[in-house]
Amino acid sequence: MDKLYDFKARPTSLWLTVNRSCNFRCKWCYAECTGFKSSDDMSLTTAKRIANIVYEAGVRHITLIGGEPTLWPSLFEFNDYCKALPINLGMVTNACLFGDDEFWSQFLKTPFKSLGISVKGINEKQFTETVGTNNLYMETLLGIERLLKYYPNKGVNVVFSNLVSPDEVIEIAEHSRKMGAKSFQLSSCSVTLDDQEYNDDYSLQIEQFVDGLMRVYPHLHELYNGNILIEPRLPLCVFPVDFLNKVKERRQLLNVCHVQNRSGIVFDTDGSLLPYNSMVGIKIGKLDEDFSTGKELLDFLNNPILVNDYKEMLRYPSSECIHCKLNNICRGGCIQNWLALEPQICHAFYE
Amino acid sequence: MKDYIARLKKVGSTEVSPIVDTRKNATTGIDCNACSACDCACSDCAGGNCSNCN
Repeated sequence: MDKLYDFKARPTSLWLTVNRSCNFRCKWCYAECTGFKSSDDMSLTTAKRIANIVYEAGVRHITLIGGEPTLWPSLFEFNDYCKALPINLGMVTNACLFGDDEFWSQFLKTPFKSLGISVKGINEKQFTETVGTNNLYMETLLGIERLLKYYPNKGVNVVFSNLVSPDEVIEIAEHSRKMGAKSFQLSSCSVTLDDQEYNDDYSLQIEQFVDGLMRVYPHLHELYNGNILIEPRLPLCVFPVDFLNKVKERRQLLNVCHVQNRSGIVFDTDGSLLPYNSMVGIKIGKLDEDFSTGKELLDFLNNPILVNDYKEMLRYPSSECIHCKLNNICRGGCIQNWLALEPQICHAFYE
Repeated sequence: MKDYIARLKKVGSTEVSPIVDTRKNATTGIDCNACSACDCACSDCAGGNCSNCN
């Protein structure tokens, strides 16, 4: 048998939740239960302390998440701080504020090393259906266009929820391409956790997702000259084997994440550690209570109790998986989906 | 966290193989989401080793 994973944390990257406030109200948002309150903003002092601690622990890349990070008042000051450490700083944004002239000129003075654009819709109907308002539609389109021009290799990310039809996915892909996107990432919509209850209201049923993906994939592949990334977040055994072979060979498949090998750390706005960002409210440790230096952070992440918790959380979904040839690139997809999925759907691939 | 774990419907073995570094799986030049777009922060291009990070 190959060497087994020891469930130890070896962090190389940090996802820093700097705020919960957001100018959008996407129906499938995993952070809806936070109430989007600006009073939850992380202080710049806390952000700097966390940056110092994770730097000491070996992390060299931070991605700001939210909420919507562009609404965080300390955004540019923190960017300057990270550049000086030095740490690469990126963020995931809905791009809306980049359509604001004042914000855009400020950004050009302090640009980010990297940036991810999450596109909610290209036409007004799609945008309104997902975001809940059309007020910011034009500004957001302008923001996306500006960013795609500024970052010449930039692509976009789209969540394939039941609010978007396969035809609309293709429409978003085509429009994004015209605006300058060089790559396209399509992710499924995972279940969210609201007050201890899971919510899969906006997730496509597995059969719908598979059918939809089979329909859009050839278009996306051709449109982006193969520069696409499919993120099913589901057990791979629900897909046709010839499709899996194709996307594997073309290196277009991403189904495991930093949680699966504990290479990433996620902080909430109050300095709490989260297992991953969609597990809002499930705190596994806290700055100054459980650690205050990089070494203490690493020791805390690798304490036997937490390692054992991860061992349970990261177990294979089904008894079939241990025999599966794809288990090292699958692992059942997004952990959170296993609040809803049943292990019986899994079957091993032997070839 | 224990309550959360108890609610997961996973029943397979806790003896799991290490995941394959998906940076090597991603298409060269793709805007891999460690350094960019990912709503769930799932990414393995941690460390910023992709072409977009450097």
